[in-house]
Amino acid sequence: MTHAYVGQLLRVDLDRRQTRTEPLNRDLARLFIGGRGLATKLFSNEVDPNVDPLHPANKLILAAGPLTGTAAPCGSRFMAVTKGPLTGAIASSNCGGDFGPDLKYAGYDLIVFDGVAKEPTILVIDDGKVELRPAADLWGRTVDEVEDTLHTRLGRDFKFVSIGPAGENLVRYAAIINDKSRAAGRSGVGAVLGSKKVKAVAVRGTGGLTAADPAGFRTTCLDVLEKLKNGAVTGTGLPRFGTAILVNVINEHGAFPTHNFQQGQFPGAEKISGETIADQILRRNRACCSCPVACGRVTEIKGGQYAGRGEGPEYETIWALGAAVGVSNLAAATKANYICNQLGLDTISAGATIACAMELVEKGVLTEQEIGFPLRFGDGEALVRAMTQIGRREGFGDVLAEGGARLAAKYGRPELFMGVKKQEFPAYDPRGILGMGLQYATSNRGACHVRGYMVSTEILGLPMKMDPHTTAGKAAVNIAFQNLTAAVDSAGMCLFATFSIGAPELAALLKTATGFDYDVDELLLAGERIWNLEKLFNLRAGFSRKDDTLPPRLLHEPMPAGPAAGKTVPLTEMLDEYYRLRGWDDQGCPTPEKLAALHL
Amino acid sequence: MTIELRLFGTLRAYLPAGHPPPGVQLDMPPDASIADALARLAIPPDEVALTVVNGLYERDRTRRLSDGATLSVWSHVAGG
Amino acid sequence: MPKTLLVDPDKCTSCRLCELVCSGRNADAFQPARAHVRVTIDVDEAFYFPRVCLQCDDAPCLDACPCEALVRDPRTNAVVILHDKCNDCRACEAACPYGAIRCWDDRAWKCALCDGDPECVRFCAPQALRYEPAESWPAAARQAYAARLRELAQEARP
Repeated sequence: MTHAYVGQLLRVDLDRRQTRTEPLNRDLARLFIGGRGLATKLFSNEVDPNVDPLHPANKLILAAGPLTGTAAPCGSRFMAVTKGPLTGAIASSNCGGDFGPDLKYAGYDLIVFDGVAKEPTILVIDDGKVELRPAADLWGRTVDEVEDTLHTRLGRDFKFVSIGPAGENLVRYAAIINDKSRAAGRSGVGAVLGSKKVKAVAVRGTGGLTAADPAGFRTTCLDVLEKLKNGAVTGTGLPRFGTAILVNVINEHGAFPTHNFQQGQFPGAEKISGETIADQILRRNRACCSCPVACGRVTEIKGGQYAGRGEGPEYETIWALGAAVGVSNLAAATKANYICNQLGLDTISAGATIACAMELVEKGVLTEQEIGFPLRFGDGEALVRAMTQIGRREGFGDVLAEGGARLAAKYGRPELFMGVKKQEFPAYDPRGILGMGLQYATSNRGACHVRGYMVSTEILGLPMKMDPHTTAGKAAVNIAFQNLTAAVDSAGMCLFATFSIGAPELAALLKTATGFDYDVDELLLAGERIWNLEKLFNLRAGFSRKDDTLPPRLLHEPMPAGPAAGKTVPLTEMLDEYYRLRGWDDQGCPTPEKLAALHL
Repeated sequence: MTIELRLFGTLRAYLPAGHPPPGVQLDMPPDASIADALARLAIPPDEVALTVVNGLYERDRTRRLSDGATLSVWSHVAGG
Repeated sequence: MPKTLLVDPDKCTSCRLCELVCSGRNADAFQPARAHVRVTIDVDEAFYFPRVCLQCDDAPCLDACPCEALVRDPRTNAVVILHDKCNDCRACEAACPYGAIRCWDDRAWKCALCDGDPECVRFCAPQALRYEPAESWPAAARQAYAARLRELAQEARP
């Protein structure tokens, strides 16, 4: 194991304040690739699926993939794998930036956190030298303050992941933030780090990584680079307008969830679109390490009550802090995004939870007296105020910090929570994109778009066009997407690269980088193996077919207007077909034959 | 008949000068097609990547539009 | 006329792919610490700045070397280090006002323009790094780049 991988992982025993290095298991690395896959394998071997996610016995793994830190274009990603406090399911949140590569240059593929520290702590890894340091003075600080302080204290060339006050306060959808603005966002991975009293991880490394076949790897990297540069999405769409170019695309298709999924089109879409962001607030693009796409937006709101600087909003964020809550004021939504970054909140769940509260207010179930201020659809000022309260669990923010599912249940209207497995939906109404309904219902980490991005085929026509209003063929394509995505995440590659490259290019990158003789079949089989492993963890954690479902609104209430008017999601027929094609029984349990075929 | 042509992404450049985004109303002959509408604003066909009529994807640019139709077009699209 | 490695910092997107492919070619590892091109990134200020060797006409590193280990390659106009002659005295590193020379494994290392086919240029998607005839880099822009490069090098010194 000398190529692409560093070949070792770091175990951090917070109870005993001890760390130790362990070699990476070569056989497991081949079967599970790295990143998401390998971390999930270690995690499910070592952690009781019934553990309370915020209990010290839950572990959290930060995991880079074999391509992370190499010259593979878009190969910068790492994953945070744990049991999610929001969902109670397997959580694996993906993040780009510079942390993943620098973790490997500093000497590790993975970090496994176990136990809980007695006091606020930071982990410092400086070229293989590992140290746990007390950090009481950083507790309570925002992500920006932590990174600026640690840059001064440790050195400019350190890279960080950290949690903000939201993670410390165990907000159930707290994120882990890297490079001030990049989030391993979903499922509350930041709250797990907070429960362990780990405020930040700092890495600096001068080490290097090699490819098993340097010439072959270089040729493959050049091929991938050309495809990314020439692809319409990765070469022009994303660099020019960022992911928020999708605002108008999804809105015109009538699948842009508005006012907590009460409508499918948002009248203010133009004001929060990628085009408007590029026109009005974009300062500069920002790329993750090794990425020729550079979809990141460095932005500034000049003057006024929302003045500020930061990164974002990207598509899911501008939806959650825009259409979901009815806010068409780009400055207010962007300010709410900056607050999420600084406090360490998942923008999707934060915005969607506030949207749920707004509908509870609209329905008269939740009163403004309880909240302490008016919280109505369209009120940007209330959005910003609520966001700050959530991150610090102040006032009604303490209730909102529990997420939409617990909020709606508390007020006796559980059907008004818009999500799956207690995780809030992202920015697509599946009544207008039926395959996304199946994707949401079956995603192992709860409602999620980046586990099998059906929008790509149903709306964008990539790699082929499917009708968003029919179910035919959706189960098979969704399974293929889920398997491929698991492999992409595990390799350390950005999912966006798959708008321009596919399994053949990824297999070639992995083969030439690692020396493992991957081909497309083995790669997709690894993806399927990882997907089934996550599913097994969830089954043992108590999930079953009844959890693979959607809120009644999407199953039974026809979309009121627009191009998807009259549509609901015929989930049962898609789900039955999905289970069958997956080789699972009708309750969604993998059969013994399937597990044997996958070496599980 | 009248249709609305909405332009997104880099196609914004083809909006008549000073016209606010996203779209313009066009008076078209009764049998006008998608291609005819694009030609009205001198939009090069190969710059159009995604064509949507009344919220539904339409690959065939010879398709005729009906009165009151909304035609939305993108240069390059992307995912979130 | 040999070409020049031209830098257009406004086009840089901060991806650092140049650092990775430079070290991949010149140090046989993806290892930014050993790359001859390094990118200074300050996101708060929206400031990205690829730092390269200017292959100065009047190169202080050439003059500083006591063992004639630095020579001009007439084909590319690059100042290259002959590693069998280098004794790791680090005089060249100290002499360079731009921070373009680093010492590793008991030798000094610097950009030699990849013998006329710079790997960083090959992989720079936004074309912030280009390899073009010297006259395509206007003197004023080149001077402004050099001045900023010198400032950054000074800030980086302990």
